[in-house]
Amino acid sequence: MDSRDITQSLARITAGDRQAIDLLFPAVYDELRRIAQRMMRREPANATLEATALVHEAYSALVDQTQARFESRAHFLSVASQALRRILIDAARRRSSLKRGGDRQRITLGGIHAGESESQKALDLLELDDRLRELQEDHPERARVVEMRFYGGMTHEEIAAVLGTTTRTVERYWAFARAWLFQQIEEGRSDPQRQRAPSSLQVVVS
Amino acid sequence: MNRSRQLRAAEIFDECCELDPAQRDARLAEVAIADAELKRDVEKLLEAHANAGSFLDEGAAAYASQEMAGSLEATLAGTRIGPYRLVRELGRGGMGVVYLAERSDDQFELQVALKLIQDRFHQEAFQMFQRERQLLANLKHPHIARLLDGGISNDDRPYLVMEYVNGQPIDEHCQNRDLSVQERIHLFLQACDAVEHAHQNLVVHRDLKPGNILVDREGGIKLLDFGIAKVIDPASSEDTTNTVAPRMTPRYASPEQVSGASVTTLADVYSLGVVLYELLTGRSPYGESTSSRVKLEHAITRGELPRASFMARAVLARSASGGNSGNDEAPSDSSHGMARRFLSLPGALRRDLDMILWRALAVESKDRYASARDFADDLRACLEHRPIRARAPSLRDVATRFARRNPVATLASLLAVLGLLAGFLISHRARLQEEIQRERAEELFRSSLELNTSLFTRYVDRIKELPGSSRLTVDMIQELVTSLELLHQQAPEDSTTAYQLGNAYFQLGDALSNPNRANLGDQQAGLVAYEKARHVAERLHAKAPDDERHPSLYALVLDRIGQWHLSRGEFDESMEVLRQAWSVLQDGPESDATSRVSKTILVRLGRVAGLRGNHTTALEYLQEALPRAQDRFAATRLLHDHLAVADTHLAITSCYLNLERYEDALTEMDVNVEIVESICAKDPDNAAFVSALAMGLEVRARAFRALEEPELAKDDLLRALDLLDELRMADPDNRQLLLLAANVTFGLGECNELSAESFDESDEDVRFSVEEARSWFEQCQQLCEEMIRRGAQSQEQEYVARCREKILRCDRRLRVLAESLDEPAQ
Repeated sequence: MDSRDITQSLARITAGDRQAIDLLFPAVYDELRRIAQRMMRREPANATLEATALVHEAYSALVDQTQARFESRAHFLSVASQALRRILIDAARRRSSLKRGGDRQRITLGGIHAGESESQKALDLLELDDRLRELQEDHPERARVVEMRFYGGMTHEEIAAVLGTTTRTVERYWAFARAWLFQQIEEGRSDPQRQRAPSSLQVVVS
Repeated sequence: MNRSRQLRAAEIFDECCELDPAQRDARLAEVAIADAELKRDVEKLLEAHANAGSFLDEGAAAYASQEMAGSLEATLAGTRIGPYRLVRELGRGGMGVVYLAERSDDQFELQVALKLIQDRFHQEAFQMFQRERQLLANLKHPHIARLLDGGISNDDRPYLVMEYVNGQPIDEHCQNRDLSVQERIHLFLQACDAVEHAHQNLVVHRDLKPGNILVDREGGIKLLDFGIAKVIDPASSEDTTNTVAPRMTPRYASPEQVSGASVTTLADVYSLGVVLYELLTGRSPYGESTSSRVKLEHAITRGELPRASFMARAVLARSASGGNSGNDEAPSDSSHGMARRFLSLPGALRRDLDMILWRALAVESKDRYASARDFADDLRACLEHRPIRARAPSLRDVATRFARRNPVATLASLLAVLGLLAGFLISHRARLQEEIQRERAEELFRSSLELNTSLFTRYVDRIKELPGSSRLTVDMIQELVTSLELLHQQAPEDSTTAYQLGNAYFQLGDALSNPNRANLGDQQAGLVAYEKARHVAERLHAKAPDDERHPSLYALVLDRIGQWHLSRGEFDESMEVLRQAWSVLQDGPESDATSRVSKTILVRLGRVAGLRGNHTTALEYLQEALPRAQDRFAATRLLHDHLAVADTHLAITSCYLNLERYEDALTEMDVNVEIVESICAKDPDNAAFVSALAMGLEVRARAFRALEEPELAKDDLLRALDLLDELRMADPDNRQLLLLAANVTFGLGECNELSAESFDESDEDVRFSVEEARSWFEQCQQLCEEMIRRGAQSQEQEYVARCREKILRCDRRLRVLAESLDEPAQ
């Protein structure tokens, strides 16, 4: 898929053709993964992978800038958010299965600890993903706001452009979705029965 | 929840978010009528909304790096690089990722650490890399992890293969095993030996830090990454620029690395010093400056690090004062334990270690130990109680080192420039007048002088508070006075210039002799300056008594003259001048400035009354001054005004001490010390605040002594002594500090006398206490003699006499003790 094809599918998405997303998705996914890995290599220690920086880099790599307008850029970012979500979930799954293998011992070298960071303990990405799927069933648009903001680092204006609504609505959607997810995850924590079903670990995406 | 209720709940949630709490409750009550369960659902969501805090605010970015690292690792594990197969990641750092790897073409199993560098190389860098690699491969020492191999991977990234060390960083090891100070030093010595070996082979490490100094399973040291910094960052090793690559933390870097000067083996000596300092005190020598890179780099290049003992005490003091448990800057239990352990070393050993670290951590590399071996030799000497080579810094050392590093030095050169300007103007005045029109010349002359004046005024206020600035402050004010005198001559009727001149004389007097400030201890010159100030202020006051600046300046000058007489024991003269000051204030207009000065005068009157023996009168003056000081502070919240409150408590204490109301005295001093500690915590670099704390501790110790609590008194005095040591390092000419140190040492002597009395006569402890008392009195005597050399004072003479008497008494007691100890042996 070359730059022209990408720009074309983007135009179709912007015009409301949801199927075109499936055409664009694989290219964006690959590009993001490539950029992310390069970033990790360049600066593994203090890699603060900025989602915003990532998707914008992918955008400038894939899309012919002269053709694109604000809306189509926003649509691209929304596809990138989906792709980024997928990348992160895939990585988290792999990591999770590695951990279950139990061969990761805490070894230090060069003053750096290979281990879990605080933020990881605080939030399980896989669980969040499951809950987000549940939210999607009843409130698909609100779930998309989470996807675009949390994974894609998009602004409320950009999200509003994709959803064809106002930023005020986006803010309301975000407030609700965040409260809903928080409530679900909190309840899940106090009730072990409701913790993530092991079946989702089985899915391996190569 | 069924689907339609879900949707309703979302709608009502949206609505509620826009409503204020009262409206919201009303709306929910309305919902409850139709559907109580729906109301509960919405309430739960609203509650979650309120409790969510920063949930999801951070964005997936925060997790992304971790997850991507995981996925990258998963891709690389099993990959072959050269003849090696990667097994798993061991860690990652600024330069790249380190993997545990196996040699895949070997019959025997060999596990190695493979460091894959993140940057690709240029051609010339590659050649350099090959050369260096050969050099490093030749480095063989039992405490150095060997470099085995190296090469370039398929995707052009260089890698290094090293001996795999299964170990723990030295700091963690010491902490986990809870090693004693001596054990820590023995371990550290192995690292010194390894570094020395490398230096002999012309390899500089450049990145020594606890993470590179591992302790292996057998308990031996292994140094990692020797010379790697240079190999990996060849551009940076081209001696001048960018020596500390931005991705490295400079926490252990030497000043020359931070400033980008050329790096030699002495940089490693410095880094070793930082590591040892941390091992012994549990804290970085840079204290809190490690929190930001900019602050840290500043602290490293500025130098003047606190002695290890001082840092250890600070760690203890901080954990003793508790602090909020949530504070990350509060020292951990382990650093607390280390600090305690370090402080409980015998005094001589601890002082030696202070000196050794002081030497290793010199900013100028030529002031450091010449090699890692010299450093190690001194450590061994001090462990074996042999004399060390790092001698105590003489005042001259301190002074020269100080001049090189302190910001005051920079200001001093500024002063020189301004002085030149003034000199030029004065000497060329005549020529200027000839060449330009006379009127223009005068105008030019005047405006230049004014500029000069305002520059000086601005800088004087800034530098006054820097430790070690007494001499410079005097020089600067003298320059200022010269400028102002010229201006004043030109326009004698200009009251602003006259006021500035009076103020400058007053400041000069303070800088020369005010015993409550950093001062040069030149009493005669101080009085001359004050008298000049009095002359100017008197005339101003007579001419325009309603200008509120005039009475306050006049009264302040009189206050200082009163203080001057007071310090010479001339109580009547002092009282007379102070009464005059009081009447100036009573007659003049009331303002902020005058009310502040009234407070000062009241405090001073209280002091004089006290010295004349009228302690009850004194207490009355002071108790009238206290609320004024408190009001002032409440209005301004300035640290200086807070200090004035503390000072008033201090003066009240001295009345109580004289009235033998010791419990009251202690109560006052607890308030004083608490206030001054809080001030110091806010501005720890301010010499005036720190010396106020030392003074507060000294006076509180008097109350403890009076209440026969010698141990509590000793705690305060030792703390005061540490503070004074630090202050005197920076400001050796300051008479106030000398006097305070004399008081503290004398107090320590008396405390030990007191503890000697509480022991059984035959006890060995008594002898120790008396010996210690004697040595404190001796130190006090030396300090007093030093002061007398700088201008004899009745007070110090008397002190010396008292010290001699005390020393004689100690000697007598020691003789008696020796006899009684000998008896049972015979």
